[in-house]
Amino acid sequence: MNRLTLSAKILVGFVVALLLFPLVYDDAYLMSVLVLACIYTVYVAAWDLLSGFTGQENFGFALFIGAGAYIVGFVTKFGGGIAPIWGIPIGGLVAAILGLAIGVPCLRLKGPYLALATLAAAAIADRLVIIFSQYTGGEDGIYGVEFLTGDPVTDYYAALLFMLVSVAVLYGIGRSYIGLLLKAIREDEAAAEAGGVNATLYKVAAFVVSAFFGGMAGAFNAHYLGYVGPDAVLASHISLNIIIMAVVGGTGSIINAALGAFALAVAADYLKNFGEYHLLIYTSLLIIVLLFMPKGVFTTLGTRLAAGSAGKGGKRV
Amino acid sequence: MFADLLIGGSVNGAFYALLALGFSLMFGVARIVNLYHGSYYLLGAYFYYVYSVPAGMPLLLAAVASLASVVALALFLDRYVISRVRYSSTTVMILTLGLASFTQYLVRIIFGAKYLNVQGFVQGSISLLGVVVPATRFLAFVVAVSLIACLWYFIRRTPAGRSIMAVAQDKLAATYMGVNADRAYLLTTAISAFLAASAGILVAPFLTVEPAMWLFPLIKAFAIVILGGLGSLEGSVIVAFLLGYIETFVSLAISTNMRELVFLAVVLIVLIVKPSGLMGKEGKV
Repeated sequence: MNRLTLSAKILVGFVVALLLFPLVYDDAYLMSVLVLACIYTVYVAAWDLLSGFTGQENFGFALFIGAGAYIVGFVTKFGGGIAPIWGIPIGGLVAAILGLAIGVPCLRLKGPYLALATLAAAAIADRLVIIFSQYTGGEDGIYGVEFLTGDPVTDYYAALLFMLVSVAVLYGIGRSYIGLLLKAIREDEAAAEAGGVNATLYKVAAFVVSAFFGGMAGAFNAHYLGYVGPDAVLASHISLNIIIMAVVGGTGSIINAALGAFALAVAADYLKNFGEYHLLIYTSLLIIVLLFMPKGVFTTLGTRLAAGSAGKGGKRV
Repeated sequence: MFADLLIGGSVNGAFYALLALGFSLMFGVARIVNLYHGSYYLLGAYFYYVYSVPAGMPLLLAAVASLASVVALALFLDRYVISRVRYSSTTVMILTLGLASFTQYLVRIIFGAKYLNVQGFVQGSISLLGVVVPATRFLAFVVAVSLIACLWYFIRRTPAGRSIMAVAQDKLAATYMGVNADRAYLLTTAISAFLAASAGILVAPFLTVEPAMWLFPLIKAFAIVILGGLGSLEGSVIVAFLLGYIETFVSLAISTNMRELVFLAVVLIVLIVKPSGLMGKEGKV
């Protein structure tokens, strides 16, 4: 544990800064940016548990986010509304069931095959929302979802708590023997099975848990915005952005991907000052990171910090 | 109805085959999923526009110049950018996706988000089996089929083409037989970019030319190649035409809105039922 201290200290300092931030600087806009950053962080951490650990890259993660958000939207539209305290776990459960339904048939698929299947599944959901617009509101989506709390500071703390708990749980799973088994399956599935690991069970479980957190975050997003729509929770650019964030941060450890998501979500908002150039700069950053730090910014930084504080023995992954 | 289906489906199918073949070849030879492939198609159309409208070149010369520009860019990217991350297939996928988005935003800044009008080589329309077909579409079909035939001849009958297939089958063995694998990669990149850019030039006059035009053709090419079996050229061509007919049938019989849904559903079902694709070999990833 000793060799992780420096990274861990910086991380704790960062969380404390986030907790104290509203006391020092009471800016509603900046808080809304941070709330969305927290939501994206949960998306990416949940994605990383499936894709970073088992190597099954999900190119349609927005499907789970959308499932969690749209169930909240449907209950609002046809059932007269739902409180966030129920909406968020129900969103997670619905997404988890969907994760089971998608995960089982996709088990045999690997690499580009799985990428295409998940991409297609999410695109089908996106199309269905447009075709059945009398139920889903089509492009316009569903308005009138019950707000989280309605107060910017309370919303901020709710989002921060949601993020910290979710990332801690996902990190805990990743650090436990389950995470180790998932990585063993990624490296060599046949060898893992020969070693007595039920690869099928663990892969499906990773799919379900990943979907559960994605769905909760989607429902959280719906309650925060008071709105559900394809552009907010289902569009393919959300799935792609999640992959970009995870890869820039560094996959396979939850924390690095989560940091990548948080940093890029805040950076993306700052880049909006550059007007029409902001997406150009955002994609250039991605390209530069991939070329020069292919393991991800935070994985590389973490390794350097550990190496600096504990000499040559500080290498970890 | 039947004639509409036959002609519309054939034109779509030839266009999809042209896009999918380069993608398939790239995977088969270099083992990379190049998500920049749709951007060759986009750049083919935009370069053609630049050379023919603002630069005022004759149309045929503009087309040749456009093809040369796209191939040169593809070779540069492959040699100096993509080759740096070739060790990881996921990194290649994400890097090429990032490059494609970058290209889209760059094109949008230069040309704006508006649709561009590009002139075709031929005007008017002709009548086939009682169906009126615009001449540009007919030309696109004829050129696409000829290019596919040329590619087949090149790959199967010439030494350079065979060296590409040798690398695709077994890189190490091909190298021992004196094949230069790096040259085969570059040749494949050039062919792949050439085919996609030709598709862009051929359909530019009758489809929309705009900065996001790369994405749907890319997803379709990706799907066709996987359904045909990764690396199987014949499989890609067959699936491309099959999907061309299915799409045309759905849009004629049901609605255009359902076209993409049916396409995606077919993709998902085939992947679940037969993961290696319709003509792919078992266990080849």
